[in-house]
Amino acid sequence: MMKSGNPDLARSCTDLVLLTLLQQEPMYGYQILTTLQDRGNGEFRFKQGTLYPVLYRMEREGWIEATWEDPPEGKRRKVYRVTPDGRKEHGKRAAQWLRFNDAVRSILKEAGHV
Amino acid sequence: MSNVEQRVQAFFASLERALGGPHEQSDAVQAELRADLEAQVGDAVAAGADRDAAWSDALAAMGEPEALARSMRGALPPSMPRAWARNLRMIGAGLVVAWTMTILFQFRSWDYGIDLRMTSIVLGVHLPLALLLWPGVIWRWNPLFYTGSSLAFVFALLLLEVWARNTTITYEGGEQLALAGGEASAAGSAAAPLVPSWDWWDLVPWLCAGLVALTFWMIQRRRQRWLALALMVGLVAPIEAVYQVEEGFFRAEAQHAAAWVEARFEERGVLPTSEEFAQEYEALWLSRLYYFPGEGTDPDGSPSWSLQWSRATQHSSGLGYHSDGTIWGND
Repeated sequence: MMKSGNPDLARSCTDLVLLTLLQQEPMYGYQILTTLQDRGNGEFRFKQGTLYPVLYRMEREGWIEATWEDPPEGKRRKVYRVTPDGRKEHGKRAAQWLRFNDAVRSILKEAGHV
Repeated sequence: MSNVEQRVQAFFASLERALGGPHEQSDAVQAELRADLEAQVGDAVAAGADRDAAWSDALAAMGEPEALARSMRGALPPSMPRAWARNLRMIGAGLVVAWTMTILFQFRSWDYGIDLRMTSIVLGVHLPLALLLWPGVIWRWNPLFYTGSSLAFVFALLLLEVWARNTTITYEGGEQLALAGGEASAAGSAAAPLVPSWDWWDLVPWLCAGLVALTFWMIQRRRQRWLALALMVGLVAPIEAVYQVEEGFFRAEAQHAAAWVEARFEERGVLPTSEEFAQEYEALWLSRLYYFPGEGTDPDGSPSWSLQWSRATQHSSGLGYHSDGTIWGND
């Protein structure tokens, strides 16, 4: 699905990461890819063709919505933004992820890895 | 036309073929991908890359158009059908909903209290049809998942049914139910076990409930699921509210009539006649209340009698009250 240090790990939080980005600002597909590359420390490098099915699925779930926008400069773009349902889903997933992360850290720390 | 331009055109032509479906949908997907590819190529060229090489890289990142279309098809919402078809489907769904409410209203009048099985059957047959007709609600079919899930759901309900039928359930009013099941319980007993029994027809409501569950799983958007649930509640709740109010009035009237009949019995030692009831009883709420003195006795030894009333909401159906406190519906 995407190139990263551990694709399974990255895949497990794709929805959370995308919802987080789109909650910060509405973005179009290519912008999402470049932003992920910039901010994700190389862990989230989507193969471009795999991003759109994920976005369409999230749109189907009602977490994001898309509108065509004509920026003052540049070409017409399909811009995605988070819906109120998406914000709720994001909150839920973020809390789950942080809990899970704490649990893993706790185990690693106990074993002297952190 | 350069080699790269030909490849770009070939990519989008293959994508369009592989996507299939309505042109508007395919055009929208292609427009989005083309805009993003152009942005990517523009960035690469600005960073010093060769335009043709940038296009080649961008196309390679997209993968095979057939594979891309395959992964998109499952997630893409359908385009709305043409206006006349859409309107026709909406009218059809509206008619099914109206018909469902009519049937629910009719069936509900046959019983005292809601009959969940009959409600489940009516909804199970009609609700999926209404949701299928309404455009843009159900549009993806994954037979393995949906069939498996619904079968599991039905199986779980059946297990619940088996458990309930083989468990001693006691509650107020159990005496009448036990008698109806063919096993008389001791007079005056406040609670009696249900008799475990099986009839294949009993499966029908569960299958219908499974059909409703299957329909809900097939609904693509979460918000639409909530709306469909609201529709289901909206179909049942107003009808139930009307009948609950009516039955509340009947209960109050029956208690009032029972007090009048008992007072007359204590006063004279015999039950009042139907004529006396018709002439002397002052109704609390309801008119056209018919009183029938019985020949037998109730479990407490007092003479039995009953009341009949044609429902105000549905004259072809009625409610009955027996002096032992039982209330029932008549169709």
